[in-house]
Amino acid sequence: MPKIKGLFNEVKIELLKVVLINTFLNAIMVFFITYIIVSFFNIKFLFIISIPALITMVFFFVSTIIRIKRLKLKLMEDANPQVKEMLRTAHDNMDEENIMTVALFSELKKKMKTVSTGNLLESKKIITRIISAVAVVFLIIFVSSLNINIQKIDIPFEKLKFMIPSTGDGVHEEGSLIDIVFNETEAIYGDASIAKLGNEEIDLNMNPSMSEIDFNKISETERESLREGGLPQEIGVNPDSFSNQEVLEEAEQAANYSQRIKNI
Amino acid sequence: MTKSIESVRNIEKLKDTFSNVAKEISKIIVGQEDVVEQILIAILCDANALLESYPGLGKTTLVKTIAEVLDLKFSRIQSTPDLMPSDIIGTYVIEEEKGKKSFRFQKGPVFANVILADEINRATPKTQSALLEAMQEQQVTVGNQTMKLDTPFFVLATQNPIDMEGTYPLPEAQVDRFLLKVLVDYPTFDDEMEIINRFTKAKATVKIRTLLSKDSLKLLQNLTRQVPIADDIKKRALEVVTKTRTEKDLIEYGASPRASIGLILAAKAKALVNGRKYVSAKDIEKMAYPVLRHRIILNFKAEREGKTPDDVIREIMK
Repeated sequence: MPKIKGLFNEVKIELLKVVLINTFLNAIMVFFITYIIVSFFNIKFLFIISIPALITMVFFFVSTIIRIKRLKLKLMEDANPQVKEMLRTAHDNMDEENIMTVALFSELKKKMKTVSTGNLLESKKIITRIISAVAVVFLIIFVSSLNINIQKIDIPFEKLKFMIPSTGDGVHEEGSLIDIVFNETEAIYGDASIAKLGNEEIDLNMNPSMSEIDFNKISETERESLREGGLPQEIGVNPDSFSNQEVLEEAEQAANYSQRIKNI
Repeated sequence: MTKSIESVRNIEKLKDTFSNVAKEISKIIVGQEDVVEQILIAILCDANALLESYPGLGKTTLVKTIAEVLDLKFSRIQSTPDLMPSDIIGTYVIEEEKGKKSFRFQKGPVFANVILADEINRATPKTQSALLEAMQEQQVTVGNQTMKLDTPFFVLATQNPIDMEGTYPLPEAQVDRFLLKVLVDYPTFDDEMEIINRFTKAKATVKIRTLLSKDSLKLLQNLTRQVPIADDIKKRALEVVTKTRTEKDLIEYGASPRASIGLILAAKAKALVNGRKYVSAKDIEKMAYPVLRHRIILNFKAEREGKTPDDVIREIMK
């Protein structure tokens, strides 16, 4: 029965496509869910991404293999419930060749819907999966944008400590940042909780003038302008910009400062 | 290829053929569609059926009509305790021709296509055995001569569920040879009204058409065995039969492997009669009752609870 075998082969290819689509959608869900779970742990960002990715890949392959093995004929039967028994009978008697099987195959071909991935896909389930995946994505984005400070769980296993993000050399050693006991007096240091930074590495970029200053460049430019322009022709002093009072005050401060240094 | 297409087309017409047969039979027999169908199934399986009914329900008329529609030779044996095997099979008679005497075999009623063995349980075990041998082997042996019976060969034996005095109930081994045990119930009120109307007026001769020839019937018997069946449906049938052996809570003795063969075959025939080219799970469920009801022996507990074989089969199939 080459014709009926061809029909079943065609169906098998379509079923494979369906299985891949379904498993892919499930894998996306698995990735997001494991990502959420893993992100609760205090581990490096690289692992927050790579662990769910690994789990998803394993899930995808295992699930695909299981689905291919299990749902060979079932999906097709579900897509064509009116010919369920007929399909099963045709499948089980594919190698039989007599007038009744010929008649059965001929009727089956007429009755069966055109075999296509669209017919075999369960639109309701697919839509539900897509909506769920989108909802999970939005949830992740929403939580990230809120910048909620969640207490992260430390990995209890010694062997997995390498996953923990480092906060500089000797951070976890005795007397490191996490061991410092802050003065709880708010009058002096403000809110104590703000000072508890945990193991987070802080990248401080101090830029007082809101722009970068390259001192070498400036000096270069000054030197050049002097070379180009030559010496100034006239040097004048504005008497208004000068105050005797200021000079006296500054001199007094300098004297005080010198005296204090001397005392030390 | 053309022959194959033509054959497939003929298969498509089968449903109409069986529907026409049923219609033709209904010209004489009112109602009893299930009984008619089951008898047709037994014929298609090239097997025999045991009919259990009260007297006066039209068994003889039914079988005679079926034989007529299927162009089969019909004969009837009324079983009595003094019925001898030779009365069924036939006997040698001395014949004189031109002054020369010779033995000639006088064929008995068993040499027909459809035999109605009425009240088979009234015949002695010896006579019953003679008939059952003919059923099984489709041949009879007289003296040292074996004679093949005409095919198709179908025996419809009847039993009366009441008035068991002076009867010789068929042993289990012999009952097992009947593919189906068909129960004929009383007709419904409307059907009985129709029977009255039909048979109390002036005798009108109803012309019955022959719809199938012997050869066609043989072809159909061959086709029945070719009806494909799915593996899981086959397993389901086997589960039902084997369960009759393991369900010791209700059944004393379960059905034999012959019952498994019978159930599958009957389901195939039912599919064909209903115009299907495959066996459905419903066919197995429907045919389990006539195939198994005479093959199981209920235990004391089941009998005390007033359960019938059909009740037990129903429980098994749950």
